[in-house]
Amino acid sequence: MIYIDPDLCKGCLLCVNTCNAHVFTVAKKANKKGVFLPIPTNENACLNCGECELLCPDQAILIDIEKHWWMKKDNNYAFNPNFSKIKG
Amino acid sequence: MVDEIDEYTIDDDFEKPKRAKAPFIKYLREDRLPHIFCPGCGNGTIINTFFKGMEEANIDFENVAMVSGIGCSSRIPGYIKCDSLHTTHGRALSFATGLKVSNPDLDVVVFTGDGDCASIGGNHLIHAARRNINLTVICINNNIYGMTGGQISPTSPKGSYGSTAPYGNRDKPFHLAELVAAAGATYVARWTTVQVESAAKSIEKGLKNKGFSFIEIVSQCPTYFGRKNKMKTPVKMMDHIKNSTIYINNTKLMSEHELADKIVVGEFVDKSAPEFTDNLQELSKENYGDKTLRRSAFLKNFDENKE
Repeated sequence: MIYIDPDLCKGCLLCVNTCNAHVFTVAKKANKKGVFLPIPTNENACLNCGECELLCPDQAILIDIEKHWWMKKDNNYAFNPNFSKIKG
Repeated sequence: MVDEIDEYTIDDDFEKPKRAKAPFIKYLREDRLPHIFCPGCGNGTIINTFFKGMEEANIDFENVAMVSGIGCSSRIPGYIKCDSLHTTHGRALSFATGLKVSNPDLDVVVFTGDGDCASIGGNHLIHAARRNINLTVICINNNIYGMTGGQISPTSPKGSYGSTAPYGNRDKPFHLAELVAAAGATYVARWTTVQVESAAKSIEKGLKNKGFSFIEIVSQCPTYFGRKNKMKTPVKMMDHIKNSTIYINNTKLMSEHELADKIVVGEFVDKSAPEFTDNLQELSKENYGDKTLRRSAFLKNFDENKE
């Protein structure tokens, strides 16, 4: 599942432009802040490449954590052993 | 399809998943977010690429120190949970040199913009590259002075418009990656904000490399560069950057006239050379028998210790 944080998104729509699978569409109405949010209407086409997540300048996009590009099959992180040490 | 869209927009208390945060937000100061950068600015993307490169290089986040000068891009360390120095205009590299020499175990990362790094700090950049200090410099090149109102910078391309060039810029731009490569840096690369994965890989290599590593990332500035040059939206700027990039291997047979408006992308230098702090430590070992000169100045019998 793709989740977009409405508090952080500023509506630059770079994710809509760069997605190869055409997952996102632009909302018809603006939200409280006056931002036209991108909406993942075509979510079945998502390839889990993580490009939109990396590219988002406002860190607003989260892709499903179980199918994530940096997660292994046994729920371990793929590279950094220090990753889990930092408490957010 | 249209009905679904309306449902999403009306729903303001949308059910959040368990961890409704982007993966790299744990490195950022959440109380400071959303950050000050304009919508569509490339600086936010470069924060993500840096963290991806850092994780792939297996570097401890608590060992990282960040140094920055003045400018839009130099506000990045203010949003990151690590030790940082916000220094005077153009002197970020000299402060970083001091930090690295006093504690060579730190991983010092410098975030600079094109105005900070190429114009006022140009001399510091060349000489840091010449001495080959073990720093990682990430230069965010947006072709204009974005913070002060859209003046022409040393890297803005020929024919572009700015608030100090209403009839178009007539000067030749600096090519920063080629300049630093000629000055003697050991790892030099240039990417754009479109090729995020390659940029992350370059940052990983730069962090692992022992020596001066310089990564120039060409980014978009829709607010000032875009508005003056008929590319008002970030999407349009992104397309312009995407259409004008060429990989370095394809440029060998091209003339200078053909490459005038293009952004050459790729790895320029990847070699090894003697490093500055190692040279200093060898010198102090030869003369004082100790790794660093730091302690010896506080000894009472300074001259007797010379053997």
